[in-house]
Amino acid sequence: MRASLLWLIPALPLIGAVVNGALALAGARSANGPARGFVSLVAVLLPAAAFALSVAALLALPAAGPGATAPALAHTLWEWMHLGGLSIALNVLVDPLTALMLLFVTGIGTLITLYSVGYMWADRGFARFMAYLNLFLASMIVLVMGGSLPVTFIGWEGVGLCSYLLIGFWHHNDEYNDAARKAFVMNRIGDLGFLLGAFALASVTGSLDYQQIAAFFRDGGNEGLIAAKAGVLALAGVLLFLGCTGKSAQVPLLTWLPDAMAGPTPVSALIHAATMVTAGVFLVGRLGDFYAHCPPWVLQIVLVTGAATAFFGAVAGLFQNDIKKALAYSTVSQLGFMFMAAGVGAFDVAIFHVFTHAFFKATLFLGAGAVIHRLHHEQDMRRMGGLKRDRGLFWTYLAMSYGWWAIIGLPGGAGFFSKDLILERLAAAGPVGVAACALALGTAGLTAVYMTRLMVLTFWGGSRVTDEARHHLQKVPVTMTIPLVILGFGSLLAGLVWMELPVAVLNSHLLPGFLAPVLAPAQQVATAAHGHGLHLPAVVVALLGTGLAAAGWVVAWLLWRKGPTGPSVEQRPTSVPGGFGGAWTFAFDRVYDLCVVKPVKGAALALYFLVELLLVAGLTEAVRMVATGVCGAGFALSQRSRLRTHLALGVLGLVAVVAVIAWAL
Amino acid sequence: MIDPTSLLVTAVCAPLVGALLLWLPPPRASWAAGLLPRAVALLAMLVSAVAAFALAAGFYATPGADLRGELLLPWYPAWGMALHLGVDGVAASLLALSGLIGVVAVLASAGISNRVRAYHSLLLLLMAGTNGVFATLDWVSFYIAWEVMLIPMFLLIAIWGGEQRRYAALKFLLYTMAGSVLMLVLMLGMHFRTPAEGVRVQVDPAQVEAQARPDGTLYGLRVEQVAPAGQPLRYEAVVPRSFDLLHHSLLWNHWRGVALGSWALAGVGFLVLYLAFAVKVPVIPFHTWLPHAHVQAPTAISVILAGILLKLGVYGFYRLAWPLFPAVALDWGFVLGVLGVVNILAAAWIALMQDDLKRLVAYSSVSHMGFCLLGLAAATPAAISGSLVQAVTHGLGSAMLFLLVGVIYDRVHHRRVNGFGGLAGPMPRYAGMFLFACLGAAGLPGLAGFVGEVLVVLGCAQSPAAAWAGHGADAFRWLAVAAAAGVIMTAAYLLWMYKRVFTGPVRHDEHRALPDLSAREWATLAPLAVLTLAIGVYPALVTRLVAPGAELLARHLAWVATVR
Repeated sequence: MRASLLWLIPALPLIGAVVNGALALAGARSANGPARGFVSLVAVLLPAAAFALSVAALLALPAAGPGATAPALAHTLWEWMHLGGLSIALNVLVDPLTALMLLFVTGIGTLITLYSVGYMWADRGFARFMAYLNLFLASMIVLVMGGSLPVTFIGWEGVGLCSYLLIGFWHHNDEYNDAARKAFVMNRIGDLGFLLGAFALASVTGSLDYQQIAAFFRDGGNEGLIAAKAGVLALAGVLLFLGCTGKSAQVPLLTWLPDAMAGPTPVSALIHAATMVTAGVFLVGRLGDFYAHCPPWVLQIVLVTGAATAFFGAVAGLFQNDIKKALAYSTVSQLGFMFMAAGVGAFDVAIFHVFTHAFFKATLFLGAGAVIHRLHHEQDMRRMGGLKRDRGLFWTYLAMSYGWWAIIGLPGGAGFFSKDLILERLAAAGPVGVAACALALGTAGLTAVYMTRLMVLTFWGGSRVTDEARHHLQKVPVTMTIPLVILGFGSLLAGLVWMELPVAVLNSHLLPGFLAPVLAPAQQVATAAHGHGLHLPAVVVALLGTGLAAAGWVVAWLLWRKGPTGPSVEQRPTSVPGGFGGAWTFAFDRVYDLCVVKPVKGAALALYFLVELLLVAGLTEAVRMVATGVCGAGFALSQRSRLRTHLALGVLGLVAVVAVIAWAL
Repeated sequence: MIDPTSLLVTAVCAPLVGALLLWLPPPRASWAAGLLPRAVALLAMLVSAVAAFALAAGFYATPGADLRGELLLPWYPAWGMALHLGVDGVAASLLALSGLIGVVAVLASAGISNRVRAYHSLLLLLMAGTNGVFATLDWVSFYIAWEVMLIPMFLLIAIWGGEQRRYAALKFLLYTMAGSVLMLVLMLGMHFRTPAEGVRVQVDPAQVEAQARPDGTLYGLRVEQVAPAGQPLRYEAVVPRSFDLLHHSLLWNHWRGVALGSWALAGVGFLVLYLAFAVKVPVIPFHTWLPHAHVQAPTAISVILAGILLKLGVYGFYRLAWPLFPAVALDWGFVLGVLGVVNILAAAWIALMQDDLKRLVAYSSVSHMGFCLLGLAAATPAAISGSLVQAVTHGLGSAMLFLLVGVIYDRVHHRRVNGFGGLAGPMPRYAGMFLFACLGAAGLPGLAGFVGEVLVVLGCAQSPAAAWAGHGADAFRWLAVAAAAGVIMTAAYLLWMYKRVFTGPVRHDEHRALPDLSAREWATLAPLAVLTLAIGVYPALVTRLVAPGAELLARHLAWVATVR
């Protein structure tokens, strides 16, 4: 595949978005909307073609050379902007890191689009939904393919927009719209950090292009400059990371993600689990060379933020009754794990966890979606239970068990490999890393507890499904089952890409070796900065992890096998947790409301009334009085006489003023 | 290929001719009362727009900071009065915007049903005035064009406006006249204070390089290279007593030595020009006329007001205030930057609390125009480009928003944000278009609004202006950060408004059967939307036009900073 054709990869889903968007608008006032068959074909086939092209791009990557730069295909479309000596081109870059991201973004994206065909078929806004989904894929592809920070930023804001559109997809519901708006505005705070950080970085490197940034930091000749500009670099690192916390729902900008579950479930699977929310991790990896050369405390901020988020999300996940919210907090927690890895410079492991998480979390969300679909929009786990005996959910149950196996880290599952690697790298990264490793181990145990709780309450134990739901069970169509099963098997197998095979040729294309030309130099620098840590053998970590997962399994089984604890559906009809669970879950929301939302609204009101109405209106009156004084007659007459007279007098008055002042000069 | 002068004259005169034609006694046929004026106005604006776009296309094809389409007609030579027409890329791009907005405004005036002929003739006169401002290079005709557009605007609001139209129109007139009368006094004063034999001044090499003619003259003046003993080569010229703005731009240093009472004339002059144009931009606290005028004006007039009239203020800064008194602009650079940031943040904050859609959009305009002032104050090529790009793109975006507000006002006759709800149900295309316009205003990358803002913010970060003004070198960086924070507020107030108007359940049953966008409404919105997207994806469409002019001004300011 030629580099000049790379732009086709984002263009194909974009075409799909335009076609389906036009169809949706054209059929806006018809009863059923445009023909669903055609819409589905466009929406699924174009991302599938993008997936095929991504595979072609991967195969076309040149072999890794001995030089400092990674093998890459790059192409520039045109100069987007020229800013005072800094040229910003619209360029795309496919190197091993991007190729990997592209593969699962387009691959999982296509599967989830196919799933949506079944899930959204009965919805009146089918075409609009498909258009948004394709637009999201196009933006996400731009995000990962961008060859420079500004191009990534286009995708970055684009996915934020699509997230807004899709969270608020059912726009008749006010709560959903509030959730959508919250997501957009919170992301914007992060985006501001992204933009300012990018400019701060460019002020040192002189370029916003990823390859040039990497080359700048890898060039030994720049060490003096890097040391002299450590302050600016640290500022840039923190600002860019602020952007990542917004997009990837980390402390403190995380509360939008659980609210984002208002969107249709395929959206939660695709955007709020598998792809968009991992963009922050991708960016830190993409800028690995830069982060490795920042003062060490910058990466430690990443580490601490990740650890805090992982722990917070896991605890909050324990209290959720809504199946999607439980998975959302799980996503928050897992993203924290990825940032922990990035925080100790283990960028390849972070990306590996992004990859495996995409499979198992997409599986879990799609499975949850199938359950919700089957039970006719029931999301409260207190009204589920015993669903493994439901023949209509056989494949769902199978796939979700695989996903559950993978996320809690039982041997063989995808999470087993990636989570163990994170623990291993954390332990090796000096005293701070050891502390983080201990917290991560505890969090891994909690993960097993809350995920097993989800499985117990949904599939195992006794049934609490209401009679009404039991009588209106909906069939799970095959378009939903196929992606679910594929992704389910993916959750079991995705971890294998890390395995070292004896065959040299194959080995070179497996993940660590594949990513090494992009990430290894940065990792060497970052790990060199660590103090002495613990070198835990892989077997020990595996045993520890498996033991914790099994223990969590047993604990959850003992606690919840008889059904949910806490207030029953009759006592508390809403699925929102109360008591300590609620206080923990909504701690951040309360703080924001007190410290941000209320002050901003109050200040807006105060500003409006004080400045606008009193001060400025006073000024207006003053101007009017002066004008009355000067053009006296003209203004007084204007109150009662004709416009023409008024104008004539006004002009006369002006001439008089001019004459007087000209004479004075 | 038609020569630029004819294009320029056509762009200015077509609306004027149209306006005069409409004053002729009409035929007695029934179509003459309604259809004919609309047709004449549309034709006149189309001709003007095509000419302006052709002119702008010339700058796109061969970018440069030179002046094109120049026309010099001596008027009263004894006083140095002459009609001097000519445009650079900046003026050409604003002229093209003006043509486009004019066409859109005529199309959007279909709802006007009383005194159609008078309305359209005033509208054409207004557009002739705005085009005239962009096209002239001498102060007398600049002033005339400036005043010519005031009266039609006043009448258009006062006759065809809403319930408080008289008050709003008067406020508009008082504010803008208060500004421009002082400008007239300044113009006369500066003219007569120029020595009759002329002033010998040092000329900026950048101006010579960019704008001198092949015969070696600059603005019609002979430029000499002189080498004073022990100093490097420099350019000098003798500037006669004149009303030519270009001549005045050479005299900047002269006015620093002329006293007016206890101040230097340069300082007073800058203040006067600043006031005259700050009212138009508008810069807080001179903005209070704007929400009133917008709320009372008919849709098409709001479109012109936001789309073009506000840009005249920015253009005035660019063409008069900064070039005539660059040293003062540098001294006050940081203060001006702060004023720009105050505009951005305070107006956005106030917009959050607005219940009238038009007021909300008006405050959003005030907020966005703050970027223009900030960019000029930062005085780097990127920032000034950004400021001018912002002027053009905001013209497109705000025109679109006002058109969209007009769409719903035509249907339900009110604009209260809280009086709607769930309009996306009955009017999905309208809702989609509105969201597009909001996102454009919120500076989504890939749409036009992003370009100007990012250029200004980055230009500020690199700005030497704070150091020139004697402040810490980092001062402008903080302004950049504060300005960039404005985009969060923008997203907040626009999306909150969008939520209350378009989403949720339909709150009023009479809104269920509202018709979606009509063909005519599409025709007004589509060109603006297409350009918004095109400029966002390919900003060179505008930056190629404005960057040379911006760069020249930035170089000039840097030169002034060294020689002052």
